[in-house]
Amino acid sequence: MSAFATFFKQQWSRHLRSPALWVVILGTMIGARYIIPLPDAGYSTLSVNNHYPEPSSSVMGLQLGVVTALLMTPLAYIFLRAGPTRVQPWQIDAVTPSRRFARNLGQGMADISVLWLLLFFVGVAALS
Amino acid sequence: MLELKSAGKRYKKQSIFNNLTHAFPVGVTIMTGASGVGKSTLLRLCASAEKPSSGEICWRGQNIRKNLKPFRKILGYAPQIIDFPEDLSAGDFMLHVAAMKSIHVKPAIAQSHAILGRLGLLRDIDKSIRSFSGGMRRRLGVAQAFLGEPECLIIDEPTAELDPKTARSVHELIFEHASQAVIIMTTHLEDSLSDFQFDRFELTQTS
Repeated sequence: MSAFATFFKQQWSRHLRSPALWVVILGTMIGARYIIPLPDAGYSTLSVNNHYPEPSSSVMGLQLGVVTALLMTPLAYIFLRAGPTRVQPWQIDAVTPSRRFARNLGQGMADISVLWLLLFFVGVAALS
Repeated sequence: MLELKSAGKRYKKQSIFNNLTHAFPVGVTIMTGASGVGKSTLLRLCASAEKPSSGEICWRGQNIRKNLKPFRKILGYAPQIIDFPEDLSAGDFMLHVAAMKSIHVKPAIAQSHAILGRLGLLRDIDKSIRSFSGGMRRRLGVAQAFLGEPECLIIDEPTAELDPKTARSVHELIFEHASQAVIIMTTHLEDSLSDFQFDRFELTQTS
């Protein structure tokens, strides 16, 4: 296993063990359920050429994507970059010969994978 | 051999030490001196974690600041304070450090088991560091320094917070490497080292 794989695996496991991740996932799923308006809803809706768009899966996906991208992703990003999973033994890391590339790439890919996991759960919430 | 050549360290206007010249040979050197005299600072300089304000530090005649990567390949450093990733297990922490030292996973696992076994931490290899006591953390900090069989070991207070029996096992591990490595360490338990051979280097306010 390469250094990249070691760091990816470790960071991925750290994310999955973190309760904060599951709170964010739960939040996005609940959020996703409320994004889709009821037929008699009186609040603002998306319209295309003054018509309600067909509530097809692609339109709902668009709505979900807008809200997720605008609201949930920044929260998830803040969680990923500032959470306890970012603690590194920097006093030791600073005097090791390794280039930081493998570590940063492995941990970065794990962060991205967690964001994909978030989007997957949002999708599941929207379709269910 | 690790050499200090007129090495000095200054933080803004405060001089910590000046014009230090000394050669650390293969074997163990215990660094002594009063609290606050700059022992940990000097160890950080020797470990290339900080730059000297004046002079230079050489490994086998080469300035370590100009040959950082080769020097860090043969270095093992256990600082006094480590920001442990609390959610990692001891085994994962060792693998993290091994990966940072470019050691492949298989030898890293074998070495981790051997070192942690010597320090009485093998039973706790899968436990998260969050559950570790102060003494266990100290031993884990020392253990990671031995990964990669370093030729230069710099260890800051390896036996602080340890009971005499555990401190003894740490000292035994360190002194076993004395024939192959330059080892510089500080300890408050110098009296318990009467069975071992070592050099002393005293850092004073006037250094």
